[in-house]
Amino acid sequence: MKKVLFTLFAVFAMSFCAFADNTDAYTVDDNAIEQLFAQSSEMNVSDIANLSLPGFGTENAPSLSTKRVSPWGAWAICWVVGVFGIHRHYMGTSGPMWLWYTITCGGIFGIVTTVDWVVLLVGAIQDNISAYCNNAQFFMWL
Amino acid sequence: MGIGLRGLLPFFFVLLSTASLAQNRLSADVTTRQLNNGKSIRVERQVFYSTNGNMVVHYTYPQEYYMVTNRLGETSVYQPAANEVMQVNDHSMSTENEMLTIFLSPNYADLGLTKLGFVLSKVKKEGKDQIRTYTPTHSDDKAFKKVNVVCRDGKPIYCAFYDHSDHIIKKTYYSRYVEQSVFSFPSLITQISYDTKGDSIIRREEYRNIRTKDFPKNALFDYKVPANAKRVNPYGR
Repeated sequence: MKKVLFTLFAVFAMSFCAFADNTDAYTVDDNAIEQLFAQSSEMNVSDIANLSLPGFGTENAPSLSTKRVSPWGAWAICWVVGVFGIHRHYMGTSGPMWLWYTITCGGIFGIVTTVDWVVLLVGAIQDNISAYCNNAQFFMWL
Repeated sequence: MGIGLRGLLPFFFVLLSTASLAQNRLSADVTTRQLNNGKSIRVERQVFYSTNGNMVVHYTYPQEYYMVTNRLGETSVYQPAANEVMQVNDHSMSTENEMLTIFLSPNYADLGLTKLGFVLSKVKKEGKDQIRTYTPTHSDDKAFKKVNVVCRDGKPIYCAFYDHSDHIIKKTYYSRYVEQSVFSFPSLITQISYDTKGDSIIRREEYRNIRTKDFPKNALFDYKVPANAKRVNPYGR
């Protein structure tokens, strides 16, 4: 009898928890997120800044031929380190564009990086991202 | 006449709030962390924001530099180690786009989307939440189909960007609201972006020591870039 009651209680508790989670779909599990960060290994931004990507962080860097830029490569870089704008340097933008992305937290809190990511994905599928190469504008898609 | 005065009451309240804000400055310590594929990055900074739109940001980790900017987007970035300053005049750098400006404005519930060219196309209630759908007005609307903003008790708690296949490509949670006399501000912002494989990038921004008075003596509201700093071209051209 005890086992039956315990099972019933457990099922009720689990259902209640599932219901509670469902009704609060717009909040995030802070503990789970913090645990992920705790398990990660922290990188130094200066390590990223030293990546030997073409035209990165160097003044008067030569513009790239758009034929040398892989659309899928640009998209992949945007996905991994887009928050620092490194994909822009890969695509030939000279000067410290990475700094503008960094200080705006990925371009106005990540919105610019997200748009970059989407338009590069579309460009990669169409095999044409020439409009974004050697582009000195902060918003490369405008 | 009585009706007229009652009609003007909201206006007086807004005026009063604006007047209170005008006398205030705001400072905060901010930590931004980003996680992807088991690797994380951390950036630390102190933000000094004035309600006239001037803002000084002191980045302390992993590299020290100062950013001074205003509503017009006149921005200077000073690197003390090299005594070099980069200056740019671009409205995209305007403090109008800053999260602080957005949350200090009376219309913060739209998260600045209206200014970015989105229009409110649908509003619906879901329990205690209000769900607002914004759609882009740009002619080049390849990026997003719509943006959903969920408000609870009048405060945005969730925002999701959808692609044209109705998949969420980015969602943001706003939590731990700090209540001040004239504004509410989410001191924890968690953003999760997805790629086509379903992997995610998590970015978490935490605001601490939010102050609107009793600032420390070393507060940098009026920070000026040293006059002898060497100017460098931000675009390297």
